[in-house]
Amino acid sequence: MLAAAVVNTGYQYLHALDTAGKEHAGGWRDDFILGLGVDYQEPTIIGTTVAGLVHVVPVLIIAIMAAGVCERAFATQRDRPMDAGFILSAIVFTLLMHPAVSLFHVAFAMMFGIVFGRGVFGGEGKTFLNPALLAAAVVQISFPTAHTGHPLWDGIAGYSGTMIFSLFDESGGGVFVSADIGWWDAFIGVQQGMMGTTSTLAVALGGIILMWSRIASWRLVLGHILGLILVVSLFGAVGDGGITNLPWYWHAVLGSFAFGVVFVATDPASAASTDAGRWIQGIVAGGLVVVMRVVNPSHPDSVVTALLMGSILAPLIDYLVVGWNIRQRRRRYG
Amino acid sequence: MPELSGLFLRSVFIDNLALSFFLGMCTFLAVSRRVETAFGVGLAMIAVQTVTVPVNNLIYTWILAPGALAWAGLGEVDLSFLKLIAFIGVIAAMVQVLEMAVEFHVPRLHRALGIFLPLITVNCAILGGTLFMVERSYGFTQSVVYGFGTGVGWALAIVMLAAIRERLKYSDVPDGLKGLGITFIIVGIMSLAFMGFSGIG
Repeated sequence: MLAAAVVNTGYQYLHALDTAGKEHAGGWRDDFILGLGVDYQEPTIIGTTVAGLVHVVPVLIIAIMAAGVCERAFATQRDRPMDAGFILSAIVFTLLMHPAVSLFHVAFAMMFGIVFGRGVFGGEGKTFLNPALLAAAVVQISFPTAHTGHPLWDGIAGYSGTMIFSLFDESGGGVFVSADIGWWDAFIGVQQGMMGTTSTLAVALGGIILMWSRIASWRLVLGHILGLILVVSLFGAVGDGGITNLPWYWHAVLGSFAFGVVFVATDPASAASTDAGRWIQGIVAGGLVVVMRVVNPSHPDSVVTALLMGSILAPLIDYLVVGWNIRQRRRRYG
Repeated sequence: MPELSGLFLRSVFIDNLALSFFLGMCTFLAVSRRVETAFGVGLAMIAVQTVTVPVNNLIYTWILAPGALAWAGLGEVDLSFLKLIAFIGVIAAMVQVLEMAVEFHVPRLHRALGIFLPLITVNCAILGGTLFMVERSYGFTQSVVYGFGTGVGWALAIVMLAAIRERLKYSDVPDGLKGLGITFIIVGIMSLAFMGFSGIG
């Protein structure tokens, strides 16, 4: 996943520069790439990788450091060895970030996520949400411009990252033509977006491994997709054009949906732990993604908040499912 | 009709009294230890809201609002300075009736809720719902929907919170944060998730 993110981000960066017709973008990341002597005009594999590394690695290092400091503080206070799970949180969080995100936001949000999403509840497996998800939600809600406000990434061919949803709303299917991306491009992941989430193909490969090894629940993943399809067809039935008519196979490959569902929502600590509960949580959260994307203009891609909503609903869903099961058995066995 | 269902969804999710306005916190934090009691107080809240908001709406439109007494020939009288005390009176009466009903029909719930059932009288979420109704000048039908919606939203929030707290029974919270402290943190996180709805027009 990380390797795919690196190449992908590098590709996007060079592609963005190319489309904008600029020599370089300015800023420290750019100076660094120039200092290494990478030629923008002739994108090579090495050049692409370097450009990607320059974007991914600093965010990753800062995230791991921020998470590590907090984890360390809690481990010391509890007099316990450190748990390596925080590194995984930092990686997932990094992949959910925009390439141009400010490192201060990364550090702040990661610390918030680890302290309030993990540390105070007692660490791995004792919390009720995914710290990476909480951190990503903090970035999206507290710093709404962090993912959209960079001049270079913003002005490219009239679309940028997740803004594609609002653009679709304005100009319909034409946006894909003018931005020159087809469904397969979006599936393989060459469109702009968060660093590690654009490639549905890579996510699907990772997802198959996770589900085959039974780390991730296939019920949850299928539930999310089912919820997505369900709500999209509901909106399609009453839709008045604009974003309500974006078909589900586009919804599934755009933005962070695939990544969020496979790598974030399936975290066993934060998801429902009954089989029926997994289906319900999946359908509710998958549907919420579409609802928020369609009717909420203030968060263009609301996968993060929808999944957060899903995981705070999970305990209640579990409670209801367990209660229902108990009643069923009582009726059956007297 | 779509307008009313929009108002209902709005009052449940976007303008959730507990998680967007942080109203009714005392009951919200205190009675959310178990899902069963939380469900009970949620139902009580729905009942109280669904009755008091429309009743207060009638009282305000026909008696208290400036010029409301025109039907009695007193068009120039403005009684709106009495609105707080009148609203609280209605709420207190409603809660009294509700308490008697709960004590008679579900004594177990009555014991579990304890002092918090009568304290719904001074629950700011209920008065807040009524005052929002006045401020946004809802009509009668709208205030029925709004009262029901805010009640459902508050009930949903407290049941969710209680389920999370039950799940966290096995968590390892630092001593200083046990009980209320960690609950405040959970409520903050829940409110963050509900922020995803903010901005929906």
